[in-house]
Amino acid sequence: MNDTPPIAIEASGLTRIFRDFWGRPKVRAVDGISLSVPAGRIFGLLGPNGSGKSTTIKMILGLLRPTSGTLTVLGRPPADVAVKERMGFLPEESYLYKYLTATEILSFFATLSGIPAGSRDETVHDLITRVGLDRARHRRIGEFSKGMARRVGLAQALLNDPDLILLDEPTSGLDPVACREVKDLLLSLSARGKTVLICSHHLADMQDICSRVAILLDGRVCAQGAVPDLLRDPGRLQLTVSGLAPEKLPDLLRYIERETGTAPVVDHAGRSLESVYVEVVSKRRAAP
Amino acid sequence: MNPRHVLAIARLTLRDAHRCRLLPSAAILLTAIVAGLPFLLAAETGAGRLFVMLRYSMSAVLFLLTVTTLWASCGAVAGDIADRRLQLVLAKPVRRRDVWTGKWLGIMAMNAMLLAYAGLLTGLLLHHAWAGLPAGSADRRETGARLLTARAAVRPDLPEEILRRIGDRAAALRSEERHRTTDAKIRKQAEEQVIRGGMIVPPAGSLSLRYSKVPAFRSRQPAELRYTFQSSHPESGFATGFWRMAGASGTPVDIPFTNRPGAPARILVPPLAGDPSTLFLTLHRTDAHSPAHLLVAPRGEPPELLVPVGAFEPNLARAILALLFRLSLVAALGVTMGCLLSLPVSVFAGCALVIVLQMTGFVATVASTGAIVVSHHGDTAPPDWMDKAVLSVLTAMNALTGPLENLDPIPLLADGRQVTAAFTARAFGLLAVLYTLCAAIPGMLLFSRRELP
Repeated sequence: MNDTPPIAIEASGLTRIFRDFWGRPKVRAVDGISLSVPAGRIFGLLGPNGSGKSTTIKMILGLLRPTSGTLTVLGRPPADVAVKERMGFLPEESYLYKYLTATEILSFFATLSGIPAGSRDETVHDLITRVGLDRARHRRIGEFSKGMARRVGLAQALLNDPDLILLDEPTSGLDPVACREVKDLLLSLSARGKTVLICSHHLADMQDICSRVAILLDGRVCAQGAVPDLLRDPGRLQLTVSGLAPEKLPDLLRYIERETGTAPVVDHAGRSLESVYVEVVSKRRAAP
Repeated sequence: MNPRHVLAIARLTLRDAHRCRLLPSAAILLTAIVAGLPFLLAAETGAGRLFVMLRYSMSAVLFLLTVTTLWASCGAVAGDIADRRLQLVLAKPVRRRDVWTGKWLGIMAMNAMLLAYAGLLTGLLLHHAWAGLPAGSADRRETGARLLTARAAVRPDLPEEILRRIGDRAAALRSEERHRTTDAKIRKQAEEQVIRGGMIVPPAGSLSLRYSKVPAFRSRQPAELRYTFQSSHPESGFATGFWRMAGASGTPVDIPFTNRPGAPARILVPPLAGDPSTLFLTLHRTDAHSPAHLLVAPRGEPPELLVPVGAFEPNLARAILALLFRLSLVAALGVTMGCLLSLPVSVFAGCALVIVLQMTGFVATVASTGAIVVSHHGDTAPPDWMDKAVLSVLTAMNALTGPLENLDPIPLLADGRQVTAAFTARAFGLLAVLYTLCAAIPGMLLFSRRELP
């Protein structure tokens, strides 16, 4: 039996050159990258500004054509409309019609996504509730905060229950609790077999949820692999001990120093600031 | 094409136009134009006021809606591309031709609403102004007979001799082959030349005209005879005489006239007894001492009979429809430009194309006469290379826009002429179907190839 998951996105030698008015090469935004995004996983695309992340996403969406190389999305060319029936996309900014209400805009995108009229209202209602915009459903997008508009953007990306979700900076503009909720949502989607491709600068978020990442620089892939493999430092060991009596610690440290020749660093195990914040805010909100 | 996608995008475009206050602003401006312009342009009579409402207000309405349509249609796509909203739309399973069609349909729905509103408002204000004229006054009668009506134009039958001469003249013009033009235009040119020289009445002479195929007069309203005399003698003064009018049977009616040469003249023709489909009109000159001959058709157009055949309201409705078809082409040009260019460039290019559309009459004249400026002093210099180049461009333009000549219903409406169903159907076929498709198909094809960085 083969345990290798199917590939959702396959890029080989993918190159995109932007040209000036006269057709002369101006920028090599993506330079021969090769990627394999396994289906059912969360894949992170990391890199500094201008490294080619958004250009890659736009090629996956079929908005840009590769200058050279091959790209298949869910086994088809990216410009194929049938691919988009199984795809959801959240752009970096909330490019929404600001004169429309949350319900109107989601209903519009639901129609475009091919959701039947009979179940459209119910789907829109469920998603609005799911992204926490129940009270703002009839307010215009123009009146929303950045975080609220982001939630609408996320809701529209999930309207058609897509198999492949492309998210450009999904937690940008969100408060830590909402950020945690989004990450939990993405993990639950992955658990349901959905493929998620994320571009982000929030490395901690990426570390939390991504199973694989690729690091881009100047349009090229500098590193790629499973997150635990990339994070592993073979020269260092981390020992976590619980229930050790304080009086026995000096003996243990002396033993380690004698065996390794260096003094070990001792500290209490801590939590991330995010987990503390989420705990405090959640308790406060839960209080009567 | 997915109709659900098209309708969803059309609805969104219309809603966007409403919410960003384009629709209400345009409606307020239309109200100001239709209701306000007659007060700005002073008219002494009721007929003059109603003419202003029909001619100038409707022209201003068309101008405003053309500008609104161009702005909205270019912005509908170019604005969405600039604001990157289209990236989200195209990330859904939507074909780009559906986006094009949806945007166009949304703009057309807006135009239909605004035009219907402007038409309704114009109709109501016209009737209100007409009802305000003193009952039984000549002004009220004339306004009703000449403006609030729909009249068919009837030309006199041409005698065999004239027809033969027109055929000979057309053959001669065709053999000259100075300019590339259609057979219909050569025939018209020959007709004008022959009629101009063929309808000349000497002092104390007469000229008989027969109008067959006259449609039935509506509600026994009078018809109108229109003509412009010209004199062979520059100092001849007024021409005097009478028109004898008779049906196929019954007693003739004589109506005297005193007309200044060169000035357009109008005479009301009452419904006559007998067969209404044929009218005999005879011009009798009584100025026997005049030294001048009278040219009855100095511009090649014989006296024209305008016969009331329909009501004003359906005429206005057909004119509004013809205007909507014109806006259909403007919207198609705007959406196509918006698909290919940035918003300011697309509006600029769209304006240029609309100006070309407005110049169809001038371009057709240049193409048929082969002269850009017609000198009335006979001192025309030979064309230089620049004239030839411009003439070539205008001739090429005429090949594209020639069929759209004479598709403006506003002059017909303001003259109390019938905007026929055939006219409206021609406007539909040419403007809303053929030319709109010519603008749409390249737009859709190029848009589907366009990248959105």
